[in-house]
Amino acid sequence: MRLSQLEVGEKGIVKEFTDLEMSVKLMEMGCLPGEEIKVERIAPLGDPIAIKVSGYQLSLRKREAYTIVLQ
Amino acid sequence: MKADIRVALVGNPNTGKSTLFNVLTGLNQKIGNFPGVTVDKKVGYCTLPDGRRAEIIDLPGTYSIYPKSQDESIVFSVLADRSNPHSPDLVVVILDASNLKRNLLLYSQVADLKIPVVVALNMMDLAKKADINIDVNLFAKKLGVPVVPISARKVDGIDGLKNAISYANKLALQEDSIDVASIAPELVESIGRELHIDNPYLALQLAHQHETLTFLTPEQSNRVEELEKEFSFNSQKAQGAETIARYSFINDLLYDTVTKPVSAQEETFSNKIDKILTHKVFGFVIFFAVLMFMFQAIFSWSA
Repeated sequence: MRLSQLEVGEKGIVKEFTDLEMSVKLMEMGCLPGEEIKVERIAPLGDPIAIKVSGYQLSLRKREAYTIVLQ
Repeated sequence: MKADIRVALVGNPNTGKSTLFNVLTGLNQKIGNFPGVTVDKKVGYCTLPDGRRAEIIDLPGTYSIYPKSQDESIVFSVLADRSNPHSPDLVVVILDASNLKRNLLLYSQVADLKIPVVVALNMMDLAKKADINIDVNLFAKKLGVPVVPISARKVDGIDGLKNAISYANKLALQEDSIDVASIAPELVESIGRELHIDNPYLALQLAHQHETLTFLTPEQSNRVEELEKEFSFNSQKAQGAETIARYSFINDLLYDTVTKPVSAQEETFSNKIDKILTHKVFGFVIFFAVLMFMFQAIFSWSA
């Protein structure tokens, strides 16, 4: 299951990342394995998406969200 | 103008760094460029309670000491390069009290460079509003540095911060956050030995950033490169391991010192507005209504 497959309001727990470079950036922003992610909103055309992680809101492109694998 | 002590302001973007800078320095500031790059350099002066003069430099906001852009790379080169004219005697790390977790990553990195640190907990008013309770004394004790709660926007706690700056120690007393050397033990050890660096985190950072740092001589940079190959150092993997270790330290720290309301937080006012204004249908309706209104105002009503 990838983060990009979640609908608005759904939650998931980060398991791993598929892109090393992206994972370093995401982890610095507090998006770490074991953290809960909630999809807060999705733009009308499906990209970008806003998620809630570590107590704040973070916006990601769809292909960035695709690199996050959920449990 | 000569300063008795040089202070650098460091923090995440949008934590109120520039507000604090303006409050501390008033109109007594100059804006220039860092040599070689088009990044604003804001330097100001402030008189401390003991009469000394402090030079304050406002460094670009960054989430991490690992730069993602040119202005972010300034932060590490000012902090790490002792020959830099702005190399600080003291770093004030500004943390957003309402979002401590992410903010503490940068703090723990800066603290590990072992420059004397004072923490300014900004936006205490917002944290209180959100029912976030921070045990400031325990927090300071665990970090081993002075922690001053402030609200830069309301000019609250600024005298306390100036006092903390003037009483700050010349030696770095902060507790270690993570065991940096364990990330790449041999590499850190050999860089430290050959480049005469006794701080393990600085040695590790040179391994990561030596290609872009201007204060290393080409020979030094090449030597670091060779050592990296020798110990097959992977910069990104090491960075990932470091970040995970730091967040584990941060989670432990916050678990002991911060209590937050458990219940799902109420949606903030701006989120509620966003929901209407960016609605799939109503968003466009409102957008055209506003445009129509402006069109009317300019072409019909003014005539």
